[in-house]
This record gives sequence, C-alpha cells and structure tokens, in this order.
Amino acid sequence: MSLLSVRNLQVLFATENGEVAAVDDITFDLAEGEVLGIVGESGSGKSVTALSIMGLLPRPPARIGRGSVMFEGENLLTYGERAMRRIRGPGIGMIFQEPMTSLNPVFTIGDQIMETVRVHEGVGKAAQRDRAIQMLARVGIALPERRLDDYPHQLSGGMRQRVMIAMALICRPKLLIADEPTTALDVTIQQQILELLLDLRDEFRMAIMIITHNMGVVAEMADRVIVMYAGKIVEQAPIGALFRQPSHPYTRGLLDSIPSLADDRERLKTIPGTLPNPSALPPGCRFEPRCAWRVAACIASVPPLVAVEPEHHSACIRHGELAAR
Amino acid sequence: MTPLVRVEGLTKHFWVGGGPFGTGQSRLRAVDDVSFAVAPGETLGLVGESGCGKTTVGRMLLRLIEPTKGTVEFDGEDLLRLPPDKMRERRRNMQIVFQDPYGALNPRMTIEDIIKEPIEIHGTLNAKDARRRAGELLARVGLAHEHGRRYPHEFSGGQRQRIGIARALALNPRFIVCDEPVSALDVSIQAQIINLLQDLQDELGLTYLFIAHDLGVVKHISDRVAVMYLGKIVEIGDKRALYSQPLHPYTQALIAAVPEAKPRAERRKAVISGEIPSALNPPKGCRFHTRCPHVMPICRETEPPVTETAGRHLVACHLYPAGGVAAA
Ligand SMILES: Nc1ncnc2c1ncn2[C@@H]1O[C@H](COP(=O)(O)OP(=O)(O)OP(=O)(O)O)[C@@H](O)[C@H]1O
Ligand SMILES: Nc1ncnc2c1ncn2[C@@H]1O[C@H](COP(=O)(O)OP(=O)(O)OP(=O)(O)O)[C@@H](O)[C@H]1O
Ligand code: SF4
Ligand SMILES: [Mg+2]
Ligand SMILES: [Mg+2]
Repeated sequence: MSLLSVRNLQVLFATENGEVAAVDDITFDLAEGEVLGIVGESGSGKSVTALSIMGLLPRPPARIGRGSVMFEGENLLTYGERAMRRIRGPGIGMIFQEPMTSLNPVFTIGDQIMETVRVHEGVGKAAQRDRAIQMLARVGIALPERRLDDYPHQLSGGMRQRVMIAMALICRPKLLIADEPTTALDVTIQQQILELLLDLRDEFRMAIMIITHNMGVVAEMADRVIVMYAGKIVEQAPIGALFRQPSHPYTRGLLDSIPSLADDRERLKTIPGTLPNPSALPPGCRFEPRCAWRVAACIASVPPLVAVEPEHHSACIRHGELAAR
Repeated sequence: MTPLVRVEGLTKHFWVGGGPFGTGQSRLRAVDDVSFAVAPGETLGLVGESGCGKTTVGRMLLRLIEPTKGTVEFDGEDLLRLPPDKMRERRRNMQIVFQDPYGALNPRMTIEDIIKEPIEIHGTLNAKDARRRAGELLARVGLAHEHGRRYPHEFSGGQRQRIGIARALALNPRFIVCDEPVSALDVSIQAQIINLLQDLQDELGLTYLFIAHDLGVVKHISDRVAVMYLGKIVEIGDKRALYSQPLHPYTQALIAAVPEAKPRAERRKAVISGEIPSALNPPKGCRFHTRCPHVMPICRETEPPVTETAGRHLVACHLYPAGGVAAA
C-alpha cells in the first residue's frame, strides 16, 4: 500500500471570472522511503497540490472540487482542522516556499521549534531543548545552543530556511513535503541540505515530495518525477526515463531551456508563449497553443495520461513519435 | 578600453540590533572593500550566497544606498561627489531591474503608468510621446499594447519581469543592474528573459551588472564573473577561465556543488561543509577559512591580498602569494 495516494484531486479557486481549477484531476502515489519530484511551469499548481495535502489551502477562495488524499489509508480531505493538526508534524512535515511567512517574527526560533516538540511528544522542557539543539546542528547551524534565543530577523535568509527545515523534520515525519526548499541557498549549502534529506530518508524511510524549478536538484534527489502544466499532470516517469526519453513536448521544452555549466551556446532554447489563462483554457491539450508538435486532433479532447512504458506516462497524443526522435 | 563603471574600495556597514532586550547596536559588514570595473557593452556577473552583499553592491552603484566608503565612477565621473540634483540626472543612464517581480511594481498603477513613470519624473517627453514610447517599450519586451491598460496582479512572474525591464529601458540607459531578474522564474520563462536581455544588449549596446546565484545562468550571460563571499569579492575573471580553472577554493566548491541536470547512480558527497559565518562577526584573516579545505595557519590571521594571475584573473587567497604570480 502507498503511504500517500492522491486520486482525481481537483482544487477550485473563486475568482472574478468564476471558479477556476488550479489543480485539475490529478492522481499519483508515493511509497514509504520514495522521493517524488514535482516540476512544472510557475503557476501550474504545484504548491496548491502540496497545500491541499497539508489541509492548508486558504478557504475561501479555495475549495476541493473532487477527489481524495489518502494518507496511511485515511482520507485527509475528510479531516477537520484538529485532526489535521495531529497529522502535521509527525505524519507530514512541510518546508514552505517562503521562509519568512512561516516563521513567527515575535518568537525566538528556540520557542518555535520547542513548541512543535511539546505539542506532538509531550516531553519536558529540557528534553525539548535538547531535541531542538540536535536538530539545528543536523541542518548545519553552528553553535545551535546560542542560536536558540535568536529571533527570525536576526538570521540570514539561508539560516532561516534551515530553521524551517529543522522544524519540519523534528517530529520525524513519515512524509516530508519540500516546496522549493533550497532556492535561496548557495549551492554548497544546498548540497548539504539535500544530503541531509536523503540521509533521513535512508535512516527512517521518510518519503519526500520535492517541488522545484531546478532540474539539477530533481536529478540528484528524485526516484520518480511528475511534470505539471496548467493544473494537470502531463508526464510521470522514473527519473532516468524522464531525462533519457522525455515523452511530452512540454517536458522536452523544459529540459532544453536549462543553461548548463558544460556548454555555452549563444542562445537558449525557449518555449514560446505563457501558461494559458485558467478561466479560458484551450479545449483539448492545454499545452497545444505553445506546442511545436500540435496537430488538429490535439484540440479535439483533453489527452489522457497513457503508458509510454510501464511506470512512464505521458498526456501527449504524439508521444510515440516523440520517442522515435 | 576605459571602463563605463569603476568601483574602488566600495564598503557598506549597516548598524543593526538594539534587540528586544536593549542590547547595543552592532556593525554588519554587508560589503567590504569591493573593487571592479565594467567595460562598455560588457556583462559582469556577480554571484555568491544569499546575504553576501550582492544587492547592496548593485544599489550602491546607483546610490540607492549610500556607501560607507569607496568610490563609484560612471563614465569617468565620481558619482559619490555629485549633489542630489546632478545625481538624479545621471541616473537616467543607470537603471535597475529588481530582484522580486512580485513586489517591485506598484499594484495600483496600470502597466503603462508604471513604464511611463521614469519618463514623467525626468520630464523627457510630452504626454503623447510618453504614451507612444510606453507602447514601443511594451512591444520591445514582447508584450502587447493593450497590456498597458492592465494592472500588475493580472500578470505572471515572467511577464512582470518583462514589465520591470521595459520600465528600466524607458530613459535609454547605458547601464542596467539586473538584480536576480530570473531567480523567481521557472527555467522556460528564465530562458525567455535571458534571451531578451541579450537581444537588448546587442541592439542597444547596453552594459550589465548581472546578479544571480545560479552559476549556469551567470555563465551563460556574462563576459566576466565576480564571486562574492561574506561582503568581499574573492575572485574575478573572464568567465571561461573562471569556470574551467577556478582559483579560489570557494569558487571551486561552488562549481563542484552545482547539481547537474543528469541523473546518476551514486550519491554525491558534499565538497565542503560548515555554516556560512555571520556578517556581524566575519572570521579574522580570510573570511572563508572556517570552511576552506586548504586552510593554512596564515589564513586564520592575515587577510589575503588580491593577486592578479594571467589575463585579468584576480583572486584573494593565500594559496596564490602576491609575488608568485605577476602582479599588475
Ligand atoms: N490564494 C489564491 N487565490 C487565487 N488563485 C490562487 C491562489 N493561490 C494560487 N492560486 C492560483 O492557483 C494556480 C496554481 O498556483 P500554485 O501556487 O500552485 O503554482 P506553482 O506551481 O506552485 O507555481 P510556482 O512555481 O510559481 O510556485 C495559479 O494559477 C494561481 O494563480
Ligand atoms: N537595510 C539593511 N539594514 C541592515 N542590514 C542589511 C540591510 N540591507 C541588507 N542588510 C544585510 O546586509 C547583508 C547583505 O545583504 P544583501 O541584500 O546585499 O545580500 P544579497 O547577496 O543580495 O542576498 P540575496 O541573495 O539573499 O538577495 C545581509 O547580511 C543583510 O542582512
Ligand atoms: S497533445 Fe499535441 S499539443 Fe499537446 S503536447 Fe502533445 S503534440 Fe503538443
Ligand atoms: Mg509554488
Ligand atoms: Mg539580493
């Protein structure tokens, strides 16, 4: 049985132009100890997916239209706020995209980390403090006992991000959702953090869902990858297969746009155009207006995800021809 | 060639703290004794970890932040001696594209008004010409004329970044500080913006200071690259030399740590460990010594001088003693 199993999830947002689906009918699984990467265009619904799993969508304007989020066999979408609070922490930990919004500026970082330990484990003050110091040391904060009394604004961006990571990890979650966990960090620190996450995965089979724009981070971390475009999963594949045989034109465009350290060609390849307006989506494939492979059939209906190989799915009707090139 | 921008000993100290318990203020050495030059039409990349002082350098060049010490020359003129009205005039030639595409645009102004604002402040065109110019600029950055009537929240991050670029171009500047213009964007939009910046440079002969922390992006767009660590430039050189033969151990670590967009069987091990020290209390001697794999006793005591190796490649590290390589 999967640790996490998302089925036909649809998340709607109320806007001036009526309700729009920010996430539309997505289905995926995540097993214990597995690292799942989620990549995709900015605004394609990655963070909304994460927040739905955590029960942290802003409601209103958001509402779940349809679907289920099964975690250890229970549908979290039926849970109330109190029940969700027991899941957050020891069940699912999350590192948020914006570190400053998720640390409280009026409490010291020690207070904030120790509070998490107290709520979930009910241990005494001294034990809370020890745990906090250990965790801060593990995320690479020097002299953690001296840092406990600092307020968030006294730390650099990179250190705040590590404090957040410590908070997410301190209850040893079974699933860690990391939304752009290392974007603000220099690559030497990024590498340390990614290594720590993989160590924790090895030590107690923590599953990780990592959302990122950085294809290098995905390649380094993930066992499997989901590619999202305009609220839909357009491709899903084991990491090797995704890079070896990208089977959706969007994924190809994404991989082709990366400026690499190795070559420096004159001009970067791009995908022309932008994400469609969610209240006026193209009738068929949502990528069709930007796609170099489009044919008349692409607008006839929304192409479903189909198997390219076992475990490798694409939502492009021409995936066979793509593979051939 | 005479540089368009030349910076000597640029320094900025902030006084911070006076914490909740009334503790005294402490000196934060955000930028410490930074020198470099940018030739006309050139792109100098500036990389380094979060908080190392990149934005502060960029803003000091335009005097949006007043330096504590040092000189900033633009086209041979010392900007720091200029009175405010003269400085404002010079600023027509120097613009900035801000780090955060979400926060940088006034949400209550239409796009056209945002782009026209610098023109109006400097009174360079009448109302009709200003509107026409705004339309041209929108087209220049790949947006449609009718976008001008809309508001920032109606645009995606990449589109907002284009708007920021259009605004920066409004007064035909010669020099633009691009402060992480693509960091908040996904790779496909990032590639569009980078291509746009390069096209504009080719057509208009622009000079850029390009700040970023993605080494791939910086390598792609820059002619030369400067690497900062804790308020100091530790290495600066031609991008090919710097990437193929990095001299400073921090630059070496940075390049080795870049995750490759290529899956591999075994896990990589971190090249260097340790926390980046605080700018409130930077390490004595070489600021990188607490993390450096080659640390020697002298590194803990004495600040390494800047040494020039072949081809304008500068490094500040005791592994390269001043007499050992040709100093210029
Ligand atoms: N509070 C909100 N109100 C209205 N719409 C929202 C809200 N939050 C998200 N959305 C919409 O939902 C869609 C998906 O957003 P989401 O934040 O999940 O994107 P993302 O894939 O995480 O993008 P990024 O890579 O930029 O973080 C977007 O079109 C966005 O405009
Ligand atoms: N107005 C200010 N007051 C006090 N300290 C400041 C101020 N502005 C910047 N700093 C500090 O100066 C240092 C350099 O900041 P700066 O914003 O230049 O870094 P950066 O390299 O641009 O980082 P990032 O990559 O996160 O944008 C940091 O330690 C920062 O906290
Ligand atoms: S279905 Fe058609 S439009 Fe969509 S990605 Fe495939 S080829 Fe392109
Ligand atoms: Mg997001
Ligand atoms: Mg900055």
